[in-house]
Amino acid sequence: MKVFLIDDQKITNVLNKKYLNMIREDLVIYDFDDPELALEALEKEKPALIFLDLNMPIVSGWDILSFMRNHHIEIPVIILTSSNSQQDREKATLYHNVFSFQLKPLTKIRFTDLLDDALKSGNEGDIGTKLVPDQKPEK
Amino acid sequence: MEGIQSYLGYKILFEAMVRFSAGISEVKSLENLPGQISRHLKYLINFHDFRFYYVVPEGMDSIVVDKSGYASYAFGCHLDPNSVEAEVMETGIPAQINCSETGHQIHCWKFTNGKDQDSLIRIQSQDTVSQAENSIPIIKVINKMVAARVENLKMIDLIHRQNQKLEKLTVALHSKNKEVRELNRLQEATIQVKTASLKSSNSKLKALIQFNSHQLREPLTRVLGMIAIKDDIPQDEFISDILPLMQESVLDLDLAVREVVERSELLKDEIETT
Repeated sequence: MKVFLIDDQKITNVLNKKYLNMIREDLVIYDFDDPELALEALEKEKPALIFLDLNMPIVSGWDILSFMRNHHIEIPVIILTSSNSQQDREKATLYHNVFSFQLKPLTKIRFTDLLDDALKSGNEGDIGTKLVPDQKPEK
Repeated sequence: MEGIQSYLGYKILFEAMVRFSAGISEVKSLENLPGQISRHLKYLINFHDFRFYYVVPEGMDSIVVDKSGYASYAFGCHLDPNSVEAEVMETGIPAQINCSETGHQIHCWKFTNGKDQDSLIRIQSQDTVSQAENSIPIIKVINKMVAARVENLKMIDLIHRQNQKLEKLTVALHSKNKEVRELNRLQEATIQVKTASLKSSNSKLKALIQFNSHQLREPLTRVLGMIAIKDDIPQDEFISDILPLMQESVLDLDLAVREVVERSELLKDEIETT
C-alpha cells in the first residue's frame, strides 16, 4: 500500500517514516519535503493515504487539498500540523476527504490507531475529523 | 366775484396741501423731513419760524424750520422750562405772545394725537393780523400729517435697526454653525484615523497569533517528536539518524522565539503610541 508523507521539514518525514515502518511492513512510503513534487506524483502513484502538513512555503497543505478537490482526486488525507489554531481545524472540515486532523508530534500509539482507523475505513473519526462516506482506501 | 376769489383761494390751498402731503410722504428718513416741510410750508401759512415737537413717553424730538431756509431735526431734545412751549405743554392751553421788539407774534398749540403721543406746534410770524383764527384748521391738518409721518418714519427706523440686529445675529449664527461643522469634521477625521490604526493593530495582532500558532510551534513539535521516538528505536539508530538533526530544530526554535518577542514588542509600541 502506498502512503505519501508531505512535510517541508525533512526530519518530520524521517520520524513519521520510522514509525510507519515499525507498525506495518507492507507499506510503500513516499516522503516529500517539496510539496510541488508531491503534487506531480499524486495522480501517477495514486497513494491510498496521505499524511499532510498545512504550513509550507510556496505550496501549502491547503493548496494541495484544493488541487485534489479540483481534480476530483478522492484520497483520504490525515492532516498533521503543528498549529493548534481552531481556525485551521474548522477550515479542514470543508474538505470532505480529510479523514483526521492531528497535532504534531504523533507518537507510535497514535500512529497505530490512526492507521487502523484509516485502513478499516472506520466510520468513527478522530478529534475534529470528517470521514468520507463510502470512500474506502484501496489496498 | 367774491365767490370766484374764494373758490380760487381754496383751489390754491388744496393744491398747496397736496404738494405738502406728497412732499413729506416722499421722505425716507427723519433727517430729511424738515427740508421737505421748509419747501412746501410757505405756501400754506405765513411764518418766520416754525417748530414742531413730537412727544412720546420715551422722549421728545423737534423740527425747526425758518423762513431763511434753515431746517433741522433734533432727537431727544428738551424744552426750556421758561419757554412758551413748556407752558403750553403743561397746561394744554394755546398761547399767543406779541414780541414788542420784532413785532412778531408767537402762537403755540398742543395736540393729542393718540394714546401716549402728543405734539406741539409753535409758529412765529410777522402777521399783524391774528392769523390764529383763520389758520387753525390748516395747522391741525399740518400737525396730523407731520405727526403721522414722524411716527411712521420712527417705526421704519426701528424696524430697520431690528433688521440690522437680526442680520448681525444671523451672521454670528452662521459663523458658529460653521465652527460646529468644522469641529464635527475634525472629530470625524480623528475617529477615522483612530479606527484605521485600531484596525491595523488588530490585523497585526491576528498575524502575530497566527505566527505563534505556526512558526513557533513548528520547530517545537519537531524537537518533541525527536525526543518521543527515542524510546521506540535502538540507541545507535537514534544517535546516527536523529541526533544530528536535533541541533537544527533547536536553533529554529530559538529563532522563532526571538522573532515572537520582537514582533510583540513592536506591536506593543505601536499600540501604545496611538
